[in-house]
Amino acid sequence: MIPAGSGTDSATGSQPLVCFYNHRQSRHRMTTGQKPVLQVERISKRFPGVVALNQVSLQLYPGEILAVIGENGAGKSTLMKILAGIQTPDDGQILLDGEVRQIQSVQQAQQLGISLIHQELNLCANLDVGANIFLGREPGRFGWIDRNAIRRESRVVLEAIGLDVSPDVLAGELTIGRQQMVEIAKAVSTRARILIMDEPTSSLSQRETGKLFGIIRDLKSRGVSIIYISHRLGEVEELADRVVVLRDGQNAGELRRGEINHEQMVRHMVGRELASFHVRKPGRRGPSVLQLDGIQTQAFPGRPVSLEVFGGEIVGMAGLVGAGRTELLTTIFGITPPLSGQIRVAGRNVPVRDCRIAIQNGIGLVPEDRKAQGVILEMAIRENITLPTLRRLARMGMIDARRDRQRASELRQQLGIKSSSVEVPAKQLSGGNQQKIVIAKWLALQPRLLLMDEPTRGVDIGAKQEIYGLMDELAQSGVAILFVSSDMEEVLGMSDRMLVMHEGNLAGELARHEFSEEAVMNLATGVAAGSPGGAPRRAVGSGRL
Amino acid sequence: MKSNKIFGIILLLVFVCVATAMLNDNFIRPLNLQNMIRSSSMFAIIGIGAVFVIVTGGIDLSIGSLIGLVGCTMTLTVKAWMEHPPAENGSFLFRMVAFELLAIAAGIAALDWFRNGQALLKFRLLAGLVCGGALLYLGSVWVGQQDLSGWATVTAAVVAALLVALHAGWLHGMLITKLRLQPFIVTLCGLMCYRGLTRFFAEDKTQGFGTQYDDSLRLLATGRPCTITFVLMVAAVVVALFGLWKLLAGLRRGRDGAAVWTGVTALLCGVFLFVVTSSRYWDGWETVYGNTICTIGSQEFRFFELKLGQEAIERPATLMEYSWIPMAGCLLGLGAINVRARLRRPPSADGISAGSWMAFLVPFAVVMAAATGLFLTQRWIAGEAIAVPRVMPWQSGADWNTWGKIASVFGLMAVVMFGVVRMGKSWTQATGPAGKSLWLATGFFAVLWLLSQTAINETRVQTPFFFLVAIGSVSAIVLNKTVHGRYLLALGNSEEAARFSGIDIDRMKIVAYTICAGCAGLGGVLFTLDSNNVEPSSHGNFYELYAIAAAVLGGCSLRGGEGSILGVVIGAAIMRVLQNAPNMIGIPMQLELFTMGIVILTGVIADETSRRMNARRDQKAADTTGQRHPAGDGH
Repeated sequence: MIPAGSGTDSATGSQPLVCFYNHRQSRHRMTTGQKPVLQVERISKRFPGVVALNQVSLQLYPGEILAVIGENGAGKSTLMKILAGIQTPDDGQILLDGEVRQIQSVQQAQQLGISLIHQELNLCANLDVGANIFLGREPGRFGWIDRNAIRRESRVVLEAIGLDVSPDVLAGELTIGRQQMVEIAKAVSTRARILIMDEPTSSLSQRETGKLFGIIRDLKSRGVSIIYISHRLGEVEELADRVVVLRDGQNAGELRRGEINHEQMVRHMVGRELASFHVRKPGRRGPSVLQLDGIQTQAFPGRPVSLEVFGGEIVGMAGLVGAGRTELLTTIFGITPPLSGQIRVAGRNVPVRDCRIAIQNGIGLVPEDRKAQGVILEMAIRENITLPTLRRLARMGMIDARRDRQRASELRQQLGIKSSSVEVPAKQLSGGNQQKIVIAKWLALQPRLLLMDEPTRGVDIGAKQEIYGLMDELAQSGVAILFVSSDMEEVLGMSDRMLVMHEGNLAGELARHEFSEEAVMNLATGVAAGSPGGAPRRAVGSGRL
Repeated sequence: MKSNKIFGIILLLVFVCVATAMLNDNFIRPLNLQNMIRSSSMFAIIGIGAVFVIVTGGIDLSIGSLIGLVGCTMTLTVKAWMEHPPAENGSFLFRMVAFELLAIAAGIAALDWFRNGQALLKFRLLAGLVCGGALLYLGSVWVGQQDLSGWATVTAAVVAALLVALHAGWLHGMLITKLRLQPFIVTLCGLMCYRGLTRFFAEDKTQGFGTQYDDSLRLLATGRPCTITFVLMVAAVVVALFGLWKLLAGLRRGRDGAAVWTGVTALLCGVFLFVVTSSRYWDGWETVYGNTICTIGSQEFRFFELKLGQEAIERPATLMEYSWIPMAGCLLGLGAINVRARLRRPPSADGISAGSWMAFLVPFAVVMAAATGLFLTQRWIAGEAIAVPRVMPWQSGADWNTWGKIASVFGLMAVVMFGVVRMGKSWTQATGPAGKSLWLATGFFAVLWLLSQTAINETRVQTPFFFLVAIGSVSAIVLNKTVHGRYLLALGNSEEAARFSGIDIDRMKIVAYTICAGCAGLGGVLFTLDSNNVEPSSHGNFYELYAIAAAVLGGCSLRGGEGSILGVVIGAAIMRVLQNAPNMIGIPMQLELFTMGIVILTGVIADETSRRMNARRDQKAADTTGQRHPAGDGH
């Protein structure tokens, strides 16, 4: 590995071809002996209040998979947006094949052969898959769209990436995992020379991830260069030829093929040796907090679920995407009332018809989609935190401004939300801090049961550890936590007990000593016995884990 | 709601007023001012209603038709009850609503029975509907048997009209939330239905009261209890008390600079305002009773009025003329603070800092003060009486001094506007709470001085203004200080997140639409009483658009989640002035809507532009601080 800016390693001299430009931070190592297809030289970008990128440089060679890693807010996404023409840099230059290029727009970037697959899905739900793939460059003439050509060509692309979806299906009807694959198909179809993937696997199943890796390697063998951004270091380890680490908007080091391993990457990302993964020490199990008795969710009628969660316990819920985990949580929380069955909270029958009843009974939900369901981006931290418990801070409907502020500040400190004050709008915070706001909302309630749906999705490592610590602390104080996660490490590390769902059924339960990836996968894919209700055991292609 | 935006539209209002006044001095004569205040108050009332709906991200297009319906039903009810006692005829409205409530209850029960096999699932709602319907029906029967006269008829008619409106709003809300229809479509249908009903009930005949209620019911809209000066006196007391409270609170909390500064400034402004507005009353005044509003039994209820004594009437001007002195003082103070700030912290690399721009104002303030002083001394020496009602002084002739004054007024406004746009969020950055308070005080005195140049001493305020004050303050408190207001803003910003936080979205929306229709109803009553002439096919046409335009001018976002009551009130005033101005200036009446459109468009463009400039400015500020940041990290 080569620390940025260190002048000691000058092994690059053996590759004179690429050393025709030379500055402090371009001390790269040639991997293929070719000219770099893309050179980023000392790019800087500032936003109000933050320096997103500070003199960042990197090179990309033909047929190379370059992983760019870093904590949230390290500047990865900004760098990629600049390359894709969504944003323009304040400083520095971009060279393509050794020529300085100004990338001003997405169209221009595409013409130059750069294509970006976004972290967030950008499909038009009301258009079919084919139309989405060819959006903005529809074949045809005189404004007429050649639908047959679209259909034909999309089939080819979809087949190439192994996605079994008809081009005529509406994009909105696909699962998130499949939508993500359509995004990839869209990028692949532009025949880009440089493909940028921003967290492409965040909503894919392992099967799909494997398929995606196959596609990536295939593209690589065809000489396409790929910039791969991910939080999942295991994937990076498996896939990358070279790793560039960013920290606080600056180059924080570079790892060559042989040096890429978990510890090295983490060390560069956080700038220090990180304690090993948070492992929970189960505490004492309290009385029953939640008991579901034959609950049928609206999404899976005819598949009753019964389970029990006890105080002071953290129960993990694993399963593929679309296995009905999120639906079960929203049903418990009363967003989508159950079709039948009973919910008992602390031994009392509670008709959870809407979430106000759940909240009154001390149930909180940290929802899956943080930006749409968890926080109100335009509102201040204070207003977000006290929203569910506002009535307790009010007298005759009038909000007690001082208590409002006080409560919010206390929780901000307790959770370590990093901001200058509680009056900062939530949209200015990083994902981890936004997630802490969502948790703070429910802590103000002093909940009995906290439901968490993907509690650390899109959260950087530091904040992840803090959230785990927090979950531990809550469980210690007697709160029951039921959380859904697609991150295997997380479910295995954090749960006292694990429930695995498969196609709306509770496929099985694992005690701590039974935890293993295979056991979970077997239950989640319906391979293992013990899935009640005789659910059809189809091959599962739409899931993720 | 950003205070900058409010400040901007206040400036726009002042600008439009000054421009119109300079072109035609009739604009600031008592009668015109009085009409403007009355009508803009009524538009502001319906605008406030619109804000509640717009904040939720919805829209209400039925306001205008509802105003027509309310006006028509009110006049019809009054007439029916008055002309044919016992008033069987006038009760049909109550009965209609009663039957409708019962029908809705039956519908809900049937739907639940059909769906869930249980008819009384929503027992509370059903019970409410049935009880409400029954009460209304019994009430209508009772009313029908009474030999009503005088105030009772009138009160019942107004109540009926408001009920019709509230009920319509509730229905909108129910349709939008329970059946998940789009607000635009629901209220569009409302727009058509209510207009049609109005024309049907009135048989397309113009409705009105004649002169019958000129001295009673109509006073609700046309009463003139006191002059603006008196209103300002009351306001002065309120401002001073607010200042005192803020000051004491600030002192108690220790060194809370912002509160102390606000407190001191408000206190001084309040005292000053009281002194200058009350100055004419120093020569003697008396209390008198105005017209009768209503008679209950043998007791007559009248407006209370303050009247000037004879000597006071002869005394032409008030001390308000001298507002320019504190204004100049505030400007000098601002300049001083900014110069000091600048000396302490040199401007950043790009040469622009808050301090330097404000320092620019100092020489300007001196020139301004000198010009005003010179002008006044000149009048003094010439022994001219400073007559009231007075028009803008520069109407008297165009000598150097006049032009100097015009230039200085517009110069001041341009500089302030430019300053606001340029400074954006950071307009108090260099100067802190002291600077902010001084800014506000400057604006306050400037407006006061401008007012002193008009005929406000003689202008009487009409009752709709007091309705506006009441409704405006209540709704400002509701929107900004209560749980309901916070919920409305939250659900306007993100409905989903609000739902996941346990907010009853349906109920909040229904409340919003009901408030909106209620405001439209009250507006409808006032409009009708004011004009006394309800044309079923056109009364209230386009008023919903005026209300929405006022809300948008006042800083509401049609996406929801953003809104301000003060903003919409000022927005409504701008709309009225814009309607009045072409008439005054001599632009053909036909162009009235065109000018309104253009000015609103300009305002929105200016707002958007300034927002972007602010964003860019923030970024520049971030650059300068940001460059320091990594260096300070010491990596």
